Amino acid sequence: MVNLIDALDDVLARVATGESRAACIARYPDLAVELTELVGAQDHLSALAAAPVLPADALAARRRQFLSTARTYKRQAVSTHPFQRRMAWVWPAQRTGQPALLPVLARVAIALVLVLSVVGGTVAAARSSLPDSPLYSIKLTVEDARLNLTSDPSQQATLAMTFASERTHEMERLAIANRPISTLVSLRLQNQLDSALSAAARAPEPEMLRLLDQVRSMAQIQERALTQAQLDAPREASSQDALRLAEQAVTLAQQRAEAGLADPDAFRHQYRRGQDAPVQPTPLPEATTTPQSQTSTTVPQLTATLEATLAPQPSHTPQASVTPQRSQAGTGQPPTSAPGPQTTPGQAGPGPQATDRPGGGSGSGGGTGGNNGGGRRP
Amino acid sequence: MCNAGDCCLPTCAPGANVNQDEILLNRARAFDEHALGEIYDAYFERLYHYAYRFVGDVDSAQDIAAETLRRLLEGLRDGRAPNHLGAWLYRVAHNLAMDQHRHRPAEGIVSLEPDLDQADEADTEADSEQRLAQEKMRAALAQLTPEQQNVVVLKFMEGYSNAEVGVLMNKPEGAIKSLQHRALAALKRALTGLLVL
Repeated sequence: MVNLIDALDDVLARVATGESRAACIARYPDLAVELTELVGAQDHLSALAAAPVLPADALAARRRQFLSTARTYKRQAVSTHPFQRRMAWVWPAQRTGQPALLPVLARVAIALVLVLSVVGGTVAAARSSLPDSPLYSIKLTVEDARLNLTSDPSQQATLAMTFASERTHEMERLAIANRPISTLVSLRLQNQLDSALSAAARAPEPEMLRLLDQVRSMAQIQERALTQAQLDAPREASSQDALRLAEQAVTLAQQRAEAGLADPDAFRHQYRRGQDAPVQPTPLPEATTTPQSQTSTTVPQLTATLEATLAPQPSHTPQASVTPQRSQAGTGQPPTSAPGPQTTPGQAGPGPQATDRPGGGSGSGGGTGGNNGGGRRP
Repeated sequence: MCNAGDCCLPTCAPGANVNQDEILLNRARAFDEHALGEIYDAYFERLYHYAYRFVGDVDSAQDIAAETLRRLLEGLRDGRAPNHLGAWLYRVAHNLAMDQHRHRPAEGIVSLEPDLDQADEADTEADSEQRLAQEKMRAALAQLTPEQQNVVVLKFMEGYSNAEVGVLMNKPEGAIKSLQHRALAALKRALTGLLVL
């Protein structure tokens, strides 16, 4: 049974192809009456004539007008992106087609983000770099900047200890990788240990003691690490010398920290004197720095000094001369003629105890000599 | 020649018309001038013919077609682009045509009764009868629902197949068949009423 809807559609389709209306309707005798009325209604539609064809120039003119309107609206249009459309309500310049402030700010912000990302990425990459890496100088620059930007002595001391630990860790990694170790790293380590002690001396009494205790503990750990590193490192003299120098610096820092814990006033007095003393160049082949020289002597200077020292004495054994002499120099006592490596803190007579400086200890002269110690005496 | 029942729109491979319109719309959202030109070329004359059936005036029909496309630009500008281009355009054109038709008697442009005083003296009697028949037919058409009007105009006047009307109205072909039945029935009733009058 065909329903009226389908029958009507069939009849209309057949009539449209030219078949006789009566014949088409006759195919559905049951629906003939309805179909005749419905198809007949269609006849009246012919009264509505088709629209006349438009002239081409009229169409072209309308088209130009349409595209002109489109260009106007394009300047007013907001983005199709929902977020940007919302932003257009905040910054109406987005809608007017005028040079908008937001895009300028957005571009500047994007540029800043990109620059900061690149810089941040580089700094992050440099953080784990080793001294033989091109990024290492960035790492040191960042460390220096952080230290310089810190005014609180306690924080300075903590930072300096952190950086000193990093130097030791770098030397360990280089030793394990059987890569050469530069004396620059040792000098930097010594410099940072001195910075930590100097900053601790500027801290209030209870804080100073806590920091000195930290320095002592850290130095003990580093000393063990460096001893192990000497076993792992390449046998070449320069690497071994660098490690020995680092070990001496750590030992000295440990001794000074212990001396400071024993006599805080003397420790503080000595470091304050060291800071107030005029900057002195390092005339003798000293490999270490004083609390004063840490702020005045550059690493290249120290490097040159160290190289000058090490060059003629490649087989020199630092333990046999550096630590005790340095300690004695710090106390202002004459150096012993036969220094031993087993100097104890008590024996070492840490620098702070020396209130006057005869200068004979290290021979480095001036107010810096006491802590510079390290006298590698021929 | 397009066979009855086939979709013979210029871009009307089955489903392709919608896709084509979607592609055009996506480009038009960025105010791509070529895309907008294509939309204009595809739809202006169709809309003009469609509107003319309702308003019976060349200028008004052109204006309706132009206004419909202008509203499309407005929608694109404001981020209100239609999802289905053809259906949206015909709906807007239909609304504009109906508005115009509703306002015509008040404006004295068209009346269901011939205004002999304002008739051009050159008009023949046959012309007057034709105008009267046209206005009665439009009055009958105006009594249909918008969807029924669309089907009547698109299928029986503009000659589109069920498939094409389905594409243009964004409806399935079965719904178009049903609509055309109801539209013709409603048209018959409306014409009967007008003839009685």
